[in-house]
Amino acid sequence: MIQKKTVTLIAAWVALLSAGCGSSAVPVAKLSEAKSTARAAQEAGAQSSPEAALHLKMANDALASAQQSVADGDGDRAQLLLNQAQADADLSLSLARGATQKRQAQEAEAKVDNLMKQGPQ
Amino acid sequence: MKSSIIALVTGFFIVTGCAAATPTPELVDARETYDRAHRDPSAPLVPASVLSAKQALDKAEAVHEKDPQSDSERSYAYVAKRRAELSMSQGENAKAKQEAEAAGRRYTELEDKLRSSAVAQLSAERMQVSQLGAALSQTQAGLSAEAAARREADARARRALDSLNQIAQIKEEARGMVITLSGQVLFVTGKSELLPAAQDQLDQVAKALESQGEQRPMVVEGYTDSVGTDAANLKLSKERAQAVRTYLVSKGVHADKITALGKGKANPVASNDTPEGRANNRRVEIVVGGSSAGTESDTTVR
Repeated sequence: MIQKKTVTLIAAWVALLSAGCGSSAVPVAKLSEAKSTARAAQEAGAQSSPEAALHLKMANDALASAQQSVADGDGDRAQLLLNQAQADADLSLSLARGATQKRQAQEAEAKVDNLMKQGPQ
Repeated sequence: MKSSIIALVTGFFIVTGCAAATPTPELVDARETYDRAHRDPSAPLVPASVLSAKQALDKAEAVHEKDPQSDSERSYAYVAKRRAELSMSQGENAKAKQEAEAAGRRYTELEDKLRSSAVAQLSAERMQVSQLGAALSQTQAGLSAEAAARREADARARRALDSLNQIAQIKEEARGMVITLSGQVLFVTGKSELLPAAQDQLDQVAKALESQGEQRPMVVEGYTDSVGTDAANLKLSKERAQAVRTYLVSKGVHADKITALGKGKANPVASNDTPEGRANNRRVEIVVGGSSAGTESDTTVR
C-alpha cells in the first residue's frame, strides 16, 4: 500500500535528518498517531455521518499533504499539517461516536415510550 | 514638506503596525468558535476539552504575536478551531450519554412498576378466581347436601312403610291408602282397651304416617264380625276406632286431621262363616288421604 511505502520513506528520512539538522525532524510519532486516530474514526462509523466523514477526509488530505511535505524536505510544513490532521481526526472520531451515542439515546427513549404505551392506563 | 514626510512615515508605521496586529481569518474564526464552545451549555460536562481548546487558541494567539499572518498562524488557528469544535462535540456526546442513561433508568423504573402492577393485578384476579371457586364449591356442596337430605327422607319414608308392611296390610284404594290392623292383635275380645302389643304397632303406624311428610286427613274405621247384635257391634267398633284415634293423637297425629268411625259388621273382607274369616273381619282400618275428614263422627252410630 501507498501508506506503508510512505512510512518506509519517512523512516529513511528520519535516519537522514537525525544525522543532519535537528530543527526540521520528521515527526514519525505524530504521523502514526494521526493515522491511527483517523483509522479509529473510520472504525467508529465516520463514513455514516456526513460531518464526521467530512473531517475524516480533511484529516486524510492533511496526512497526504504532510507526507508530500516530508518528501519535499519541508519538515516544518509537515509538522503543521500533521497538527491539522490530528485535530480533524480527533473531531471526526468524536462526531462518529456522537452519532452512535445519539442513536442509542433515541433508541432508549423509544423503548421508554413503547413501554409507556403498553403500560396500564 | 517636512511635516508631510513625518506624517507619511507615521502613516506607514501605523499601517504596518495595524497590519501586524490584524489576525488571519482563520484566527478570527478560531476565536469565535472557541467563544461558542466556551459558552456551550454542555461545556461544564467536559472541562478538560474546553481547557484543551483554550490552550490551542492561546498557542495560535502566541504564534500570531510572534509571526503574524504566517502560514504557521493559519495552521495553529485551524487547529484551535478544530479543538473548539471537538470540545462542543464532546460536550454534546456527554449530554447524549447522560440522556441515554436517564432513559435507561426510566425504562428500568417503568418496567419495575409495570411488573409489580401486573403482579398485583394477576394476584387480584387469582384471588377473585379462588373466591368464585370457593363460592361455587359451596353451592355445589349445598346442593348435594340438599339432594342427600331429600334422598335420606325418601329412604326413611320407604323404610317406615316397609316395616309397617310387616305388621299391617297396606293397600292403595280409591278412597286412599288403607292400613288394615288385625283386631285380634289390638284388643281383647269384646273390649276396647288397647293391648300393650297394639301400642307398639300403632307407634309404627304413627311413625310411618309422620315420615310421609305433610299430614293428610285420615279416618280410623272400626269393624266387627257378624256375631252379636248390630247395636253392640257398632258400639264396640266405634269405641275401638276411638281408642286407636286417641292413641295416634297422643303420638303426634293432629287431632283435627283424624276421624274415628264405627262400622260394625259392615264391609266384611272375608266370610263370617269360618273362624278365620271372622278373625279377618274383626279389624281396624286407617284410611289416609280419604275425603271424609273431620272430627269424630257418629253418623253410623245409632
